[in-house]
Amino acid sequence: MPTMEPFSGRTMAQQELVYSLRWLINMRWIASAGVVVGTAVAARALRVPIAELPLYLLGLTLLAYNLALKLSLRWLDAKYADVGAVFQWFARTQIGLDWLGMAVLIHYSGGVESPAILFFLFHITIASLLLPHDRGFLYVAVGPALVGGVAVAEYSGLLQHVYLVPAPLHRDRVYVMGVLFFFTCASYVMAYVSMSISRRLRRREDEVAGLYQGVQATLSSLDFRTVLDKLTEATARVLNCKGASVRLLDPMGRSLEMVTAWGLSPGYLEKAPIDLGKALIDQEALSGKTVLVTDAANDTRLRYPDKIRAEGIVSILSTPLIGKTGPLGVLRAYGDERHRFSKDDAAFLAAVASYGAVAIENARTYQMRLDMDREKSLFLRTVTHELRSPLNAVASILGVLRQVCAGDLGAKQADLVSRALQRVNFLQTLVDDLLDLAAGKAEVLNTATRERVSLSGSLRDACARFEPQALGKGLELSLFEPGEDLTIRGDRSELDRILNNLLSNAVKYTQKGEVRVDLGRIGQEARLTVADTGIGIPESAMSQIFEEFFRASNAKTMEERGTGLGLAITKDLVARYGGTISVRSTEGRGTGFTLLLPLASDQVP
Amino acid sequence: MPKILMIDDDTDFAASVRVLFEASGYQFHWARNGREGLEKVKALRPDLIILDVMMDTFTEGFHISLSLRDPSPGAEFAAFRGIPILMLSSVHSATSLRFAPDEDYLPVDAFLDKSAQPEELLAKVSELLGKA
Repeated sequence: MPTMEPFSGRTMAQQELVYSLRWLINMRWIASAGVVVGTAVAARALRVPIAELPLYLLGLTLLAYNLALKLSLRWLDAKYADVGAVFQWFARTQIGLDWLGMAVLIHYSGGVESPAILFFLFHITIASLLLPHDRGFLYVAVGPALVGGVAVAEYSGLLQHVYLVPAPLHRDRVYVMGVLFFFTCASYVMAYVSMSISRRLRRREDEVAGLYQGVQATLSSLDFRTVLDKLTEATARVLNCKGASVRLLDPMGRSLEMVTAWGLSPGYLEKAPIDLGKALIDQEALSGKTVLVTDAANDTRLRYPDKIRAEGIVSILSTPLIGKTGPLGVLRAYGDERHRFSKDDAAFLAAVASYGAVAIENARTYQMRLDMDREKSLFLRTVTHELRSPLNAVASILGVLRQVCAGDLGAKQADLVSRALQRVNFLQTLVDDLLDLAAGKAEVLNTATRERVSLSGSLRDACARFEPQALGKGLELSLFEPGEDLTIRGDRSELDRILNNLLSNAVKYTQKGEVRVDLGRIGQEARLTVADTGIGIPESAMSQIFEEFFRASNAKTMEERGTGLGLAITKDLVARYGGTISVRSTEGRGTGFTLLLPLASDQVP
Repeated sequence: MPKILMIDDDTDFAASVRVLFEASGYQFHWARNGREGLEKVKALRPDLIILDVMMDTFTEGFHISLSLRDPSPGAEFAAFRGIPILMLSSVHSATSLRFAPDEDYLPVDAFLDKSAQPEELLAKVSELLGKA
């Protein structure tokens, strides 16, 4: 099963081939050197009568074509991202050349007498590991064929025999047949052993790669449905079987419900949860072991044999999904033949189930968090509406009484209505502030609203909102902006709350003069200053100015009422945005609030 | 005498607004929900419609306004598309208005916070009637 290696786009098996070819070339340097050195040692030191010159030439030829192969491989590797037929062909060429070289070596080092015949087995092994297995045994035959060819050629006199020993063994029929026979057997045994081992290794490799890919896919999502779907798909692919399903326990742990399935027809999916007592296979699985069913249609532990038969399910492997908190449910794999699943598969399914359980638990926790957030939001909205409606009604009634019925009311009554209206208005403001505070403290996981918000734009809007009020009091409201539009990450309404609070305070607590708003940029932060020429904050109050419900003594004496919550809310919001707020003030002269907020990351050059 | 139709489920609020408008020389009609409201639009042909945002559901007001201003050719209230609509919200007066579901297209002509003073409401109404 192809699995992608992260960086090159090749499968692991393909990359393996390229590494092996490279390795082979490296080994060949040693082999060529060996041929040259071995020949020299044998001929000079040991005085064995081998054909020196041809062997030196062979060594040099090996070195030469190895260099050619090295350069070719480098070129192929760079040119072709996809390791396909080209590389296979290249592998065969290398091996073919090696075998020819071996045949030459054997001939010149004594033919059937040559000890170098044993080295051929080395090449047989390499070929068995590198070449595709389907025609492996055919390729192996080439080895004995080459050696046999050399032997026959020497026997019949076509080739000049090189004598290692004085006796003409190469003409001894028994000797020749014997050597060829044992060599051929040895070749095939080597080939068989190598291929078996490499087949097993490759299968393991595929399984691990499949497991890796499955883990990646399943754990990449926190969405419950996605996790389930990917888990079943990964299971079926990794085990290379018909399909897979997940059944989860209900919170009481008494029934199982099939929540997802892959590779099964929609008709097979059960609609209703099954009582655990009736789901015998799953019960067994939940007790901690993997259960194997080899004849599903006739197994008494399963229900609906007709449906099973119709679906083509013959074998089932069932393993428990155990989370940190306890059993979550059951993971099943379905096969279309009796002995589809081996012990290895059972172990493998258990491995898949262990990470699957983790993924399911994570997704569930995340989902719960999202649900809680949604409930909180809904609650806040309901409370907001329920608190504001009666207040609006009362304020409206009193307001209309005062305005419209002024003529019908006596002075005393009008005064009472006025007082009531004032208190109700204050109550409205207080409720608004409390709701703001509650919304801030609820700390909803508002990942969706952390969007880019234009600080510049919001500030301009806020200033426009307060301009009438300022002008009405005879105050000048001015805004100084930088050359660029500054953007932060956050929620538009929350930002407005901050800006409104600062501007509202400035205008409210200033009787004459101006309110000056400065926006600028310092590095990766936006710097906003709201300065006024108002009543200022007494020294003694400075340390408490951001506390909830705190109002400084000089503010309390003013006509306009305040709830004392505005700055507390603002400070809360600013902190959540990763910013800071500070204040400077002189009583009787004015106040300046400075706000520092981190800019949205893509704003930074 | 201009006809004003208000669609709002708060009877007390409506009672106070009735006094206000009648004293200012308007004919005031009231419906307590969307269904009744839309029927009265057809029956009365008001000169101005005042809608409350949150009635039975959180966004009932919006759905009423969407029905009234449905742009498709065969729409039920096509004949009444020109009537100005004033929407009253219970949202904090100082924050910018944020609504779900459709923030982009809100087929009303003006917004006012429900906690606004009577003078503001009257001013807005006469502004909208003046424009019509």
